[in-house]
Amino acid sequence: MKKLLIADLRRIFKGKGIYVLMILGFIFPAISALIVQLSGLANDVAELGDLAVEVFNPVALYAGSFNPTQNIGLILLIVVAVLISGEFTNNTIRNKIVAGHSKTSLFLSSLVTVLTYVFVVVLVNSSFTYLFNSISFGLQPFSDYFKRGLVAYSSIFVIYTIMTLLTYQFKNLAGPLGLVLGIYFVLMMISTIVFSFNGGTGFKAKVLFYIFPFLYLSGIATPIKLEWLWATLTNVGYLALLTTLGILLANRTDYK
Amino acid sequence: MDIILQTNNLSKRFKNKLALKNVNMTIYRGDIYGFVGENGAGKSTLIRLVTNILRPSTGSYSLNLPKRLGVVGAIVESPAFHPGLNALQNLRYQSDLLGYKKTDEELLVLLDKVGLEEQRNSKKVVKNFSLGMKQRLSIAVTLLSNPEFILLDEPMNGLDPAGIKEMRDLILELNRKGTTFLISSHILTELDKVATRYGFISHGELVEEISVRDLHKKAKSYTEVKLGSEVNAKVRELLSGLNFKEASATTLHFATVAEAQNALKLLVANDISVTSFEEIHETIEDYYLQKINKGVGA
Repeated sequence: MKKLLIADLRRIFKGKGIYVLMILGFIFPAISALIVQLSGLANDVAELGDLAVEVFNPVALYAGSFNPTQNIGLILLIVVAVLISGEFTNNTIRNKIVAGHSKTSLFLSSLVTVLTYVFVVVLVNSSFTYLFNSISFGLQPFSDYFKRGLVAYSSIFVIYTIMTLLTYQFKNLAGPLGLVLGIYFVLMMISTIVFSFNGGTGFKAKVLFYIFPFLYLSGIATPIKLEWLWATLTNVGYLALLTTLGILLANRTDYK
Repeated sequence: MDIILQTNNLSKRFKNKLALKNVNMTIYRGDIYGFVGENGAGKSTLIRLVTNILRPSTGSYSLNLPKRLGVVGAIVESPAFHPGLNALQNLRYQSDLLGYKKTDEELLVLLDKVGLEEQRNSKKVVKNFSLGMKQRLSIAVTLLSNPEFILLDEPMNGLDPAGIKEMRDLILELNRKGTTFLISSHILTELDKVATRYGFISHGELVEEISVRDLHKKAKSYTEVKLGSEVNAKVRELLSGLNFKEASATTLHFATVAEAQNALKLLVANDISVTSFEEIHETIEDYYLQKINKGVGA
């Protein structure tokens, strides 16, 4: 497992892809910050009303930077889907099996590699989003970033664990990517509908966000009250469950 | 003899198709096991099963090998590489997978060994390689770990005549050093130059396992006499005391050389022209075709 993981990590950090994404992770928030400064929004936001204050809030913008269907998030989702499925489309997964690595090691190594890749890119993007927006709109208490960050990272990890698990079953690019995006959009639509009734404070909204904490990643959900500890622990539970399921399925499947 | 691979009633089903049926195969240490069968016979399926790529539907297999990474090497169907990396980078990745700390020079020696010297300093990525180059690189990857058991699925595919000879020489050299091989190939004449044992598979069933020595004992030989004209009543009457078969309108097959020589004397004495006289030994191809009920010839 250790040898496999080192080889996989070495391969992604030797490639150009991760560095291109890290540069994009800096460029996107930098452009946003530039627009905010040039438009004078940073100074006028209070005059635009409560909704504008909620939306152009450094914590909300920081939380929004984790959204997997926007800007860098969507690019990252596609790049990672290509990265994992490449093992199957190029048949290089065979080389690992023939070399004698167990299927449990294969899955765990892929998962840790993917989560590392995602963590690095998202860290760059969210940190610069935090930095630039703090400059534009003023600093918020650090605990707000910390709590949002915990929920966001654990949520992102759940989504990419589902992606890895599905790729090991489908062994292609389109199926897992389509399913992850499809499921996410459906849940987003449901959460938008539920949220629109009473601002996410009603019972239905609470239940929805309690069951699917990764919905906090959606822009719509960011202003609602964050049950950060519950959300993080639920995500950790999902991660444990999905990883166990992934290992079981990886051992029961045929490879090409 | 020391068994290196033993399968016990190994079967594999893909949806409604039984690709492999209760295969009991034995490969001994030091063998070059020629695995012969028609397209879709189950050769690749068996190789994938014993390399753990596929899971058996029923049955099992055991490999009598030490538990270490890279103890088994295999080329399964088409060579598999990261297409955006060059030859050396792919070798480096495979070396990392095995946990080796090989220097560039050690890896370059492997490229030289498989005839990819020109790729030493090349930035050409693998997706631009020909099939033959990929096949050679596959061999280099396989050799990286000095495996005790190597499984090669159609290793001659895409190789030019010089490449085929180099591959054959490499197999023989490694086998002399103790490496056991399982080689599936359609090119039976090539397999015949290296194999020490054969397994014949047809429609998912292992029809026979036989050593080359036993195969040569069992393989038929006969003498072929070709006439300048068609076999007629006069010829049949002349040769009536001899044991022969009419293989075609102008060709006669005799079970022994002595009988063929007697026939030759009789035919020549009666002014019947003979265009050729040849002792024929059944080849691995003839034997295989007979085994899978497509028998032709004598």
